[in-house]
Amino acid sequence: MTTITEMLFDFILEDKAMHMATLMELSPEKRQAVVGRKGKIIVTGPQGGVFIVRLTPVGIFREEDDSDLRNEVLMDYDTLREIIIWLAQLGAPRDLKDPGLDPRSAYANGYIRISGDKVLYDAEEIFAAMEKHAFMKMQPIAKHALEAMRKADKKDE
Amino acid sequence: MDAVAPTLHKALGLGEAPHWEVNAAEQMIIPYQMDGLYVVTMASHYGENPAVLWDEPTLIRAMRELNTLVKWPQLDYLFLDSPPSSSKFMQELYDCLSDLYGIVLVFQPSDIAVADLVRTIDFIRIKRAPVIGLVSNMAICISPKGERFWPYLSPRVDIGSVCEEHGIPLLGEVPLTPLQATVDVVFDKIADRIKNTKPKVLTDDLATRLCKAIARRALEAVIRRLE
Repeated sequence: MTTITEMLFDFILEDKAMHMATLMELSPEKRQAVVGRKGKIIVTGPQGGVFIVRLTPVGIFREEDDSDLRNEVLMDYDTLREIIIWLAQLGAPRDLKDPGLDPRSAYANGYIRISGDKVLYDAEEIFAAMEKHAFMKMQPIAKHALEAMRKADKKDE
Repeated sequence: MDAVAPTLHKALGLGEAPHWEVNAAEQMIIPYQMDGLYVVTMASHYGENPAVLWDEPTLIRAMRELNTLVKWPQLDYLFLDSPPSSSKFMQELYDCLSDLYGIVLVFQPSDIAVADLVRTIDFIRIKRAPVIGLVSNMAICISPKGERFWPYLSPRVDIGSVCEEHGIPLLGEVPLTPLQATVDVVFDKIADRIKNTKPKVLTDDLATRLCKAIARRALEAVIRRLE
């Protein structure tokens, strides 16, 4: 059975136009530095999943083998859910009862673990690029994902 | 290097922590520049508000990375602001500093702060790190009218005698006051003393210190009797 996290990542990975648009916004120097990087994202929990992805000049693609990984990002499903809630409310008045959690705060709070040889540099690069170029573009996906998450919650109840 | 509650940007008068710029080609962090100072604070990385709940190995790894990932220009001095602690984090920090010139201790002369100070001095002694001296911070309160008083419930400690006991120069006493000119004079004197003081490694052992403390107390008892 496909988990909520897998559905979400399928959504994100499908949108190659968004990947390309984000890549084109980066400076040539930065683009050259990040293209080719490969990372592993692990979301724990029954609705989680494991994804190995590589950034290529034409977008982000899923891969199978986990050799040559630059970073591993680990979080639980609840953290991902909080981030999705936060993303879904970007640019709109925030629900004070359920504002979600921005990724940088989740990282500072210790809910997101990143491993690698240059974690500070990589984390800063990832967060800054997402904040500047990707979060607003991901907002519609986050809204869809949030609906799916809420439906799944109701089923579980 | 205040890993969990960085406020350096506030001390420098910046409204918010400056974003870290990165050099993508060299994969390094570029320090923020202001008035000839190059600044790196972890507040830029965490953001302003979140509580930092990293475990100690993660903090230590971050500190080691920060030591190698910042692209500093040619510097005259590198200042590291760190909390008084003998935690594993601080032990690792001292271990990875290969060319430490000297430590300036900054403490309030209250009995609680001095308890921390004595432990910190012992830690520095064990690490055999060179000490320049001690600055007594918020040493006395000076009101806008110039009245001097001790504003805390916690008893005041004679920090000069603590320094003397441990063989550490007292560099100056910074008052708690809204009078900028008064503070400027003190800071200038402290800067001069730092420039003219040769850092030294504290080698005194525990037994010698205890003997000194006992001798001082015996002398105080004799003086009290004579009075």
